[in-house]
Amino acid sequence: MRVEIVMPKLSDTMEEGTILKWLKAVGDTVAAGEPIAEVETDKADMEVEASQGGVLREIKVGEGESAAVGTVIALLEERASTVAAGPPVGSPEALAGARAASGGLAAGSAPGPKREEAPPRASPAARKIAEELGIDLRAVKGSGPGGRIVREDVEAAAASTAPATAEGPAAAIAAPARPEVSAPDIGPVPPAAEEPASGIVPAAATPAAARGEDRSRAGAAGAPAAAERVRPVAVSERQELSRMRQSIARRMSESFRDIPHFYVTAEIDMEEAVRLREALQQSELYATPISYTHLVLKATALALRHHPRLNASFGDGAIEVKGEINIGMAVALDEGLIVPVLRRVDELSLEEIAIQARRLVEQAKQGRFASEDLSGGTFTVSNMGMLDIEDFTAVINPPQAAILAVGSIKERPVVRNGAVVPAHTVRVTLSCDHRIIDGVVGGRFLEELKRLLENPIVLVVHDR
Amino acid sequence: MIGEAAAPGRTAAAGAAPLSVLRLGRRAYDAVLALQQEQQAAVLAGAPDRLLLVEHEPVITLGRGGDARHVLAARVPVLRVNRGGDVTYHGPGQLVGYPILDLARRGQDLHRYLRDLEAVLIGVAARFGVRGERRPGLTGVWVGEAKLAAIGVGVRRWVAMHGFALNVADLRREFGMIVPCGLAGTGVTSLEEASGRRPSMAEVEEVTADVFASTFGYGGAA
Repeated sequence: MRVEIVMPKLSDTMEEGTILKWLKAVGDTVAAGEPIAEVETDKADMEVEASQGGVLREIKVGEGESAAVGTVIALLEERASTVAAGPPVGSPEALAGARAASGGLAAGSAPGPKREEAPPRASPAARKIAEELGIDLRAVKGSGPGGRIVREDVEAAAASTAPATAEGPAAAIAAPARPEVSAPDIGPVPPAAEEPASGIVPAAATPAAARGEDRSRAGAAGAPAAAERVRPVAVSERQELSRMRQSIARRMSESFRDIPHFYVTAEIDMEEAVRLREALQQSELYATPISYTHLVLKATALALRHHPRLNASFGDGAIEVKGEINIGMAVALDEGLIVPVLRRVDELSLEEIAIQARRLVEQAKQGRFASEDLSGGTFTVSNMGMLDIEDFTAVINPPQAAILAVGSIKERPVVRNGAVVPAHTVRVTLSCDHRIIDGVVGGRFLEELKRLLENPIVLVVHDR
Repeated sequence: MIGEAAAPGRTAAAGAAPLSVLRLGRRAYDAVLALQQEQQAAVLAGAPDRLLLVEHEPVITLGRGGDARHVLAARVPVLRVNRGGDVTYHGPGQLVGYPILDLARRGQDLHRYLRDLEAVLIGVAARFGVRGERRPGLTGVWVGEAKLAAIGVGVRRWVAMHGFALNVADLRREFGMIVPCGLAGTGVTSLEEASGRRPSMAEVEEVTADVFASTFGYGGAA
């Protein structure tokens, strides 16, 4: 007969539990009352036992999975000879009946098998200490009149090095031969000042009896002797793609697969730009500070005006040269990147560029942008100047034909009038779609960009 | 030395036995784990409940559900153990309590037991002038957003082991090695940090034994 093992209700407020670990595999023989799984609810971890002996036939809820209380978590093929005396926690009966069985009053009428033996003769003090220390009196040899066990006998048993009985682990609490557990502060417990009420002792003995068998063997049966030592290695983890990541993955693959990229790099002397920026800051001519990015955007727009082939698209067997110069600015976010578009940049003053670019980037970072802020770009600038890098290459953002990758501005040795001197420079790399742009065209564009940034006053003067 | 008998002035429930409290001083985690398992076996065999109080040598432990990625830098041993909960740190300056309690005598309710442990720790904190609180869904005791005490329990046939860890001294540096209980971004606090005074370990043990005994209906701690 098949027996269902269900998710036990381990609390009045428990609705579901998580299987942490199966202690038995399908096909294993399970004894009645043997732990078969560990279940977690809240921050408590409980062993679930088989209600009957048998063979584990099916596991229905895997490790790490949760199931509602009462759900069948496993099936057992019963073997009639191994039926448990009492319902363990995992059985359906336990769901209904456990609470009644645990009540103190039910105790006297249902003594467990062990308690049915005639109790050994012992003094009240000896009984008390034995109970405190978890010593089984049946294993203690009495030295009193007629073999009666006295307090000294129990203390001697507690102190003896070898566990005397099957319930030895309890006796070992105070064993001096186990240095790690035998410091003076865990010696025998002195008798309490007042006698416990008479009802206490049987009540305390009851749950073990109600559970139907000698539970002490559980300590030896399943529990690991020591904690398992683990190395905190980095575990691989599967992360689902966000929609943004999916979009980046698709577009970048498409771009790198379909567009024959080539790259041109130039080093631009930024000494004048550094001075200009400082002068603008001091003059307070503009309402907003001008960054190097703003200077690059303005210069790029002006250079694109003279090199329209870079402000174009390839498609349907034709080149579409764009009427507007709309520059996308790649903005890094935690989970990807986004490219808000600054429109008609060649018609904006440096100050307008600064104001609009700052607003767009801010909104992009906060996730507040309209879809038109992200569309219609004709060229892209990707700036990694905030990082300490030399230069890098960028992947073209289709259907655009080129992208400019801007490195960090830093002091590098440059040759001026035959002498090596330190100067602030930046390295920019242009990625081009070779289907419509040839190397020389890309190079000329960079040459013009370099000329503009090395004579940045033009960027200030050029208002329209 | 065992704790004193029932504290005078605390009226124990009439006839209630005192709770056995074993004060272990400073011990390595492994040794006390073995002791806990022995004690659990004893209680399973019908012996009375008991409370182990200990201060551990530095160690990081992972509960069954624990994620090794929550260990950020392991300068101390890392162990996986049979309790609920994620990762936690134990070390000097923290009072660890292991109640070996037969929950079959207490209505077989795991959640209620966890809430009772929280009540004990809130009571202990109050004695040191610290207002500890529960946070729904986050077992443990908190002062604002910071965790004062962690709880994780392992139960076999309704006898509980493992228990709670109360931060007495400021352990923020030590907890920097882990993401406590897998809750990234939440901090830890201590009686020292929250009260501005560092109580002695003996003082905290005394109070903990006392509050524990009265919360769980014992006639004091012995």
